[in-house]
Formats: sequence, structure tokens, C-alpha cells
Amino acid sequence: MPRKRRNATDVFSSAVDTAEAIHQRDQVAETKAQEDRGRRSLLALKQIRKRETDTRPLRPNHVEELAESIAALGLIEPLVIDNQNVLLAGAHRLAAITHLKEQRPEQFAEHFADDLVPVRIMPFDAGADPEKALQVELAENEKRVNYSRDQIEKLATRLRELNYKETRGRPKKGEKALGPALAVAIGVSTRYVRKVLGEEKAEPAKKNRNSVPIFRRRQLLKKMESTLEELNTLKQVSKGREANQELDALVPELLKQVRTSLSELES
Amino acid sequence: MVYKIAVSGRKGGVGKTTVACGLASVFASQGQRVLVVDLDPQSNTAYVLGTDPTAAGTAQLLLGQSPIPVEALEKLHVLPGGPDLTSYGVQSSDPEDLADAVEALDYDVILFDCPPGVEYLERLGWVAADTTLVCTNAHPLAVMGAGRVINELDARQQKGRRGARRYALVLSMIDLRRSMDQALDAQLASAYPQTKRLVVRQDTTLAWASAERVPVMEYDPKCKGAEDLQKIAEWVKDA
Repeated sequence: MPRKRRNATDVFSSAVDTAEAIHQRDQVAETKAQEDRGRRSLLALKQIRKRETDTRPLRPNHVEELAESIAALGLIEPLVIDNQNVLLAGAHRLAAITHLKEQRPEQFAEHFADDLVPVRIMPFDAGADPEKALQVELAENEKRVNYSRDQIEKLATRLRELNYKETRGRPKKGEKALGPALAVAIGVSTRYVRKVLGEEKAEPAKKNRNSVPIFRRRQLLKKMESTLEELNTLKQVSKGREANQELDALVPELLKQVRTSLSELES
Repeated sequence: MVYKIAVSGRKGGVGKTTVACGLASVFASQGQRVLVVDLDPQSNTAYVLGTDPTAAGTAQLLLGQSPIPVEALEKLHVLPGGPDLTSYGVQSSDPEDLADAVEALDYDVILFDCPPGVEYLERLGWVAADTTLVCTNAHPLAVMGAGRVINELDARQQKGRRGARRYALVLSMIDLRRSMDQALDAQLASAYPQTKRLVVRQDTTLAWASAERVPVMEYDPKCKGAEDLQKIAEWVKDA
């Protein structure tokens, strides 16, 4: 015998009641989803809003150099934004990314799939708390405390070990560009890195130019010294030949002169 | 003025896509330029309207690109949905992004076909629309889904959020010979007394039009379903 059905109205009213109960959870979930948005690490480029007042003007050269390094490596340090998507730190990087998107869209797409840019979202509103916003901006910029030339050279050595090459212009396929990588890593311009590394290479060359002749002279004098010493021991053998006897007479004097010159060079 | 209509319902299989595409066909047959924006990763809308469901569409629009809507009829265009809608870029988009993106599009009617279940996509539709149609058929599970949507729309309105100011329940696949179908209207009337209720009767012609991938007003403009959809279009325009 078939089971007796409940009244159709009843089955609907319990559904409505459940919808009511789930609604509370829906609200909680929505709030949580919004909080989660604050923890995102990627944001669409068009959603990043510029500050209304820029504390320092952009340097077009720096923007282009950054664009070059970002084209090579992508964005290493995320842009810093507030919870309203307003930029706090990274105005040059943002300009460089925009520049890249306009000038070299393919390389842009390679690093920023779906136009998504790495960001760090700070949990405050810059409009409501401008002092904090300024602190973030300064702190971020202070991070690039000047690396000493030594430090830069050490970093360069490490990068070379990782197959980064010093090439002018765009690196070939499979090659990674050293200058831009280093520039991004320490927050200076590519040109500055190249300048520092260029001097590093130039120095040994300078030393060589001055020191090679002296070094060579010492080598020759040493050769002369040993040759003369040997000649000295051979004296007896060359009897009966006048020119050679005359030379043999000169050997002790020559040897003395060579040794004096050598010691002069070594002092 | 541009009519922006979200077709929503939370539960799957309650006629959202049929209503969205049916209304699109009705408006297009009245000479309006219509766009259907599919928010469903299943990408059924473009298929039902006889176009390519794999073409670039809503996801690309949300990612800031400018996809060209595919043409079902001269005046009926579609932005297909698809799996790209589940990508990180779309998931992290702002609830107002779709609303902003469609501002630039030149149509008389824009319909948002919301997906079942996926709330962040559904919300994009609500926020972009000025009218929301909440679909339910005569089953408690569908009523539960519709109830959740109504509650959320109410809450959004109370908080003064951007989005649909006007919404109605669409009771779909209604056959009054069945006892659940008879009880549905009365139950919704008592649970949501402020909300307009519209009806689309059970009509296999609608199913056949979808299956044969022809907009319903081209398929059979005189069928029961087409009649009901035209009434819904009138209610939307009556704002």
C-alpha cells in the first residue's frame, strides 16, 4: 500500500524555513569572502588605483629601466596597496608595468597572465589614515638602502653562477639578463648596476696595462741571471776563441748589473 | 533606457537559462538589441541560442578584454560563459566589475544568466542588473534556493548596496494538475508577500526549442511558454 503523502503546503513551508536558516550562513560566508579578498596576492592591473597626490614625481628614465627589468624577470616585489586598492608604494613599478603593457604586450602577458599583478594589501584605508600610508611608502623606499659596490659585485657573482649573463639589449632565448635582475632585486636602476659592474671589470685591466711591462722585465732579467750564471760555469770550455773569452770576462760584471736591476724592481 | 535583467535561482535545473534565452528572444522579436551575458561555467546559453559556447565571452569581459559577442540573430547577441569563469582572475574580481564593464556596451536589453550554486558569479549578475528574476519550480529544493536569493537581495537592498532594486519570482514548469504546483503559488505568496510572482507554464516546446538550439520566438512564437515569457517581458518594461 502506497505511503500517505504529507500536505504539499507543508513541504514548501519547511523549505522556506530552511532558506531562512541558511541565509544567516550565506551572510557569514559573504563577509568571509570579502575578508578573503583582502588576502589576495594578485589584483587586476586596472583595479589598482593611483594615489591622488604623488609624493614624488616619476622619473621617466627609471620607469623605462624598470620596464626592461620587469620584461626580463617579472615583478619580484609586489606593489603595496591599501584595502581600497589605492597604491601605497611602487609608483615607478606600476608605471613600468603599464608601460610594458602598452609597448610590449607579449612580454607583459608572459609575466602578468589575465592582467593580474602581484600585490600586498595593507589592512587600512589610505584616505582615512594618510600618515600610515606615508609611513608605508617611506618604509618601502627605505628598503633600498644603498648596497655597497662590494655587495653588488657579490650579488652579481651569485647571479652569474645561476646563468645570468651581462648582455646589452634583450637577452637571447634561454639567457637571463644580469643587469636588470640585479637592478630589480636591490631597487636601483639598471644603468647604475651596469656602471658598478663595468668598473669592476675595468679595474684589473687598468692594473695589467701598468704592471705587465714591469712583470715581463723581471721575467727577462731573471732569465738573463740564470743564463749568465750558466755561462759563468762554462768558461773553461770556450778557450781559444777570442770573442767568447772577451764576453766571459764581462759576465761577472753583467751578472752584478742584472742582479742590482732585479733587486731594484723588487723593492 | 537600458533594461538589465539578472535571471537567478541558486538551484540548478529550474529554468534559468530557458527564461533568460526566452526573454532575450522575446525582446529581440520586439526589435530591441539584446545581449545575453552567460555567467555559468557550463556555458549553456550560447549553445541554446545556436551559437558557439566555446567562444570568448563573459570571463574575458571581466578580465578587462573586449570580447566580441557572438551573434545568434541580428539583434540577439551572446557573451558565452565557460570554465574560464572559475579562474583566479574572475574569482578575485570586484562584485561591481561586471556592472562597470557592461556600461560601455551598446544594447537595449542586457540579460545576465546566473549559474546555479556559484555565488560570486551570481552576485556579479545581481549587482549589474536593475531587475532580478528569481526562478523556482514546484519543488521544495528549488524553493529553498529561491528563498536564499530573495533573502540576500533583501539584505543587499537594506544595506543600500548597488544592484537590482526590483525583483520577482518566476514560477517555472508549472502544471496545475499537480498538487505541489497548486500549493506553490500560495506558499510563496505567504512567505514573500511583497514579491511579484510570474508564471511560466510547463511547455515541452520550450525544451524542444533549447534542444534544437533555436530562439523560442523563431521556433514557435505562439506556444504557451512564449506567451508566458512575453508577459514577463511586459512586467520588466513596466518598471
